[in-house]
Amino acid sequence: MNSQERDARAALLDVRGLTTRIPVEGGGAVNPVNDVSFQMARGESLALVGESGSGKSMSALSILGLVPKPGRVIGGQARFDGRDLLALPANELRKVRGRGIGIVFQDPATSLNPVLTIGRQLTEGLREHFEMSGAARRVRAIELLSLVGIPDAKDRLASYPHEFSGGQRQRILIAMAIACEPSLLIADEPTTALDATIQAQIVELLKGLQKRLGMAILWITHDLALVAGLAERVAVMYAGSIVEMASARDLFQRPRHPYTLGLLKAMPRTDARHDSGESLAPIPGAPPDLRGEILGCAFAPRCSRAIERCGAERPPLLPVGPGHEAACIRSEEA
Amino acid sequence: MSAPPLVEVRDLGLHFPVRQGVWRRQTGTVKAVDGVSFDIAEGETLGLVGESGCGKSSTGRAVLRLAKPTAGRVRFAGADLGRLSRSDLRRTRRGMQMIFQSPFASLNPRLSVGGAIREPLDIHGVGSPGEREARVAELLDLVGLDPGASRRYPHEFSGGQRQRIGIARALATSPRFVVADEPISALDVSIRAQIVNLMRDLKDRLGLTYLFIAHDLAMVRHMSDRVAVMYLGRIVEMAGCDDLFDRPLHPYTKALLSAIPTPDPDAEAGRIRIVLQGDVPSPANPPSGCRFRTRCPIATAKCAQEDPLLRDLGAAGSPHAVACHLA
Repeated sequence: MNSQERDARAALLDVRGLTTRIPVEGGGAVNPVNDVSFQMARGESLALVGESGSGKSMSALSILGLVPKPGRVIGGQARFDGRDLLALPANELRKVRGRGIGIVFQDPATSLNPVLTIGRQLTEGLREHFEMSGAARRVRAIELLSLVGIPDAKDRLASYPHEFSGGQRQRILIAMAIACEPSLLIADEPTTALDATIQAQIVELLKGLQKRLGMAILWITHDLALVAGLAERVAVMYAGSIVEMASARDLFQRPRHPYTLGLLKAMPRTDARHDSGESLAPIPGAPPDLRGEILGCAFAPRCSRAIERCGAERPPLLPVGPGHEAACIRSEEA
Repeated sequence: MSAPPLVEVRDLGLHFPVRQGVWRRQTGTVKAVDGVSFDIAEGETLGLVGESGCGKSSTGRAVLRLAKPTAGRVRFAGADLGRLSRSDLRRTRRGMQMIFQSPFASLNPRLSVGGAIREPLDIHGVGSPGEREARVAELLDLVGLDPGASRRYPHEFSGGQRQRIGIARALATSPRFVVADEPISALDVSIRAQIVNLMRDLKDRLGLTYLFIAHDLAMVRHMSDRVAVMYLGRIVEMAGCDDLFDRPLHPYTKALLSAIPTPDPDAEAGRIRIVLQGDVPSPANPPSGCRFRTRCPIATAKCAQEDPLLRDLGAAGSPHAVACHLA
């Protein structure tokens, strides 16, 4: 058994070569996810970070078999607990979603059914995945609501979603996602629709649950600053591919891909004094239109270090240090 | 004696009636903005921060009279906007413009970019048609767009480019004062710095005065000379930018600042975060006394009874106002 095989056995989630294609109107197709590979160990937290259109959410949807039609996964594998999710029939995959993998989406306002009580929605997963009596489900629902910090849980089971605030609705969605004690939670921009002080509450809650329940969390976010306090490892995505992956510390202290470096330089730091008068260093241009053919490195047109070869061949993700990979032929200079 | 402020806001209020039932009877009042006062000096940037529903955007709209204030007064360059005749208000409006949050929703998809930028000039009857064309070209150049962009349509541009178009449109009538309402929050991270640098550059070149409304505190620190923090329709703290970030006095400001993530895992591991309990109360039914007391970690009995006034606790020459009994 080589080391790669051993890694794959130990991994909770092992994604290799994931590629998804969506046809576009007027012919042609785009690959919003293009040859994405990453592994997650049990209990580990990994963040997929990228701008809109980078493929971070679509990667998660691809793994879960939720790519909106007529899009579809055209390549790769996604082994979860040893089984390739991409090869599972739809009914088997549905059993994995909710049972083995919990999901929290961005918008708490639209993810809950407005005409069903919270108690009913909370116990849906339990009904589907376990043989449990109604009374036992009710006890479990109260337990879950308390776990996510909803006060007077017993009395709130009969309430409807509109009777809760945005922050509370996100807590309820988290309770639903962890109802079956999944070993992996996918949290897709779980705090983006929330205010700063509420965001802090939800992040603390999820980190606490991760420790308590020993679950792995795949965070999906555009907020690079948020990631620093969130995840042990970070994968940065650009135009459908992972361009850098490292421990959070290495990524922020020793970024090796020019895109990561550019993002960090383009963000103001709260501790940077206003009277220093420093200006930000923006990344010029805009992300590429995926409808066009991208030869070579997708970031090359915006990269200050690009040389001729960057436009000719797509750089593979290669090790640049212990547990640190970057897809840049000039990462040595970064 | 220093020059009078360009913008002077006193006891500004923007209240909305809450109507319910078949007869649409008024059952309450949402005080979106309730007794807000501040000055902005010529050439200064005042940052206005707070969470959604705190009234920061409503304040910006009321200052420009895009929403008619229900109380208080706004003076712009000495003129009381509430007392101007319609035609005088129209003329005065040329001098104060707005940059909107969404570069997708704020541009008419059927109007060419040149048409969108020229529209305010047409409305205000500025210059001859030939002069307006020249002005459009000048504005496109000013915001870093190609003059050929004039004949194209908004959908042909990326989010960052559209925000440049929105800025060019806001600057068409050569305003002295610009309210920027979350101008970067709809943009991708790599694009935000482009727009912020453009806004700072334009401020220096044109001597603009900004009211910069945002919830991204790091960006606010970067942009603003002074910062006002709002909570439930009120300003709870206002000070020089670095003063506010280095020495926050209001417990809400402290919590807000402690909630900002920083891109540094070591700093994140070592930081003490004040996690507030509960949610922001409804502005239709704010708590008695201090509006923040229901979430405040240090509230006392007095906070429920007495509404704290903004008072200056700053050193001589650097005012630092805070509305807290315990500061």
